[in-house]
Amino acid sequence: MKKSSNGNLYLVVIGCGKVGANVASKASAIGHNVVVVDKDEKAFENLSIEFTGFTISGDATEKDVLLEAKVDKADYIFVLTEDDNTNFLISMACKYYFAAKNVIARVYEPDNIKLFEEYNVKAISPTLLAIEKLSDIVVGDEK
Amino acid sequence: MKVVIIGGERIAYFLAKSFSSKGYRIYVVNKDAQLCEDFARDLKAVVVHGDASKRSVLEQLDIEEEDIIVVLTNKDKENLIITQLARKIFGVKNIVTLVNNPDNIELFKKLRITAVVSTTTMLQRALENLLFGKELEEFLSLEEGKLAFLKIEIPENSKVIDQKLKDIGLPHDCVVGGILRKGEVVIPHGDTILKAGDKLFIVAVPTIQTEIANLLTGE
Repeated sequence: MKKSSNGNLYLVVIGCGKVGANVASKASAIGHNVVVVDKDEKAFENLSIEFTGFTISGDATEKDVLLEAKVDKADYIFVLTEDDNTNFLISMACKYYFAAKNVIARVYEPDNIKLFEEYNVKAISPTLLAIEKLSDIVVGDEK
Repeated sequence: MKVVIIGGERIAYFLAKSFSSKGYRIYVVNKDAQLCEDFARDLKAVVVHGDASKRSVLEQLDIEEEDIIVVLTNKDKENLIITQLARKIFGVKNIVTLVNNPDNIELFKKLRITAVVSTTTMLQRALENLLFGKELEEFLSLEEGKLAFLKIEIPENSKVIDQKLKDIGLPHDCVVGGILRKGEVVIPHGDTILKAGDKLFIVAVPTIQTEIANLLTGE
């Protein structure tokens, strides 16, 4: 990850499930400034004790919540809710309302990846990653 | 050319009914199986049961670039992804969508949706007119409602009558641009004295509409 002049990044993590909480905790532990947003306050229990950032409980599909999280100032925004459609709306709002440059979204449905990429959102697909890993094993066995 | 109506319940039904009676080819897509059965029975339309936010479902519709797509689900996130799949993947030019959260209207417009309809905003307007009665009329709203043009008539019993404009304590975020007095236009300045029946044309930020109305029409 590219670092700003003082070495610390400002990261916004939207969706505090297993992946979101882990990434946020790690980033916070190595000194980055992290804000985590989730609709459900209980989700913040997933964060590790090393997490020293801020939490915002709110629906990130609402513009006010994104404003509160200062996504316009973020070096990276990770959009990690469990629903592709939600992730798309949030990513578009970050890009078009707040001119965010680095938006990275989780995309479950491989059919949707192209759409996210059309709008310069980096798509990470757990489905594709699993398929690739498993295919490696399958192909490896054939050798 | 066909009209594809996605989501919605009664609105979808009545739209489909009205357009099919005018001879258009109608496709209706809905997630609700029961609703699809009803549509198939009552409408002259091709009915597809499925989630249109999935590309595989849209692929069943033989979408062509000149088709018109109408998106009516009650979730903006679904409307957004459906409209963008239609536009980017299927190249559809004419897309009309419902938007529930007024904050999202601008987003849909930036993402080049042909027409964005917000029932919330329409109801808001209708209600505001009821709340303020005939004295306050928002006759123009600019930039997605960031700026409002108001017309307010000074009633007979208003406490501002015979006072100078600069003395009535108008809030800062507004300007009185013109006064219509007995059919004549008066361009006001601070010393202009207000009269009953004056129609004031005011440029304001929308949040202080109520304050202005209360100030000018209060007894």
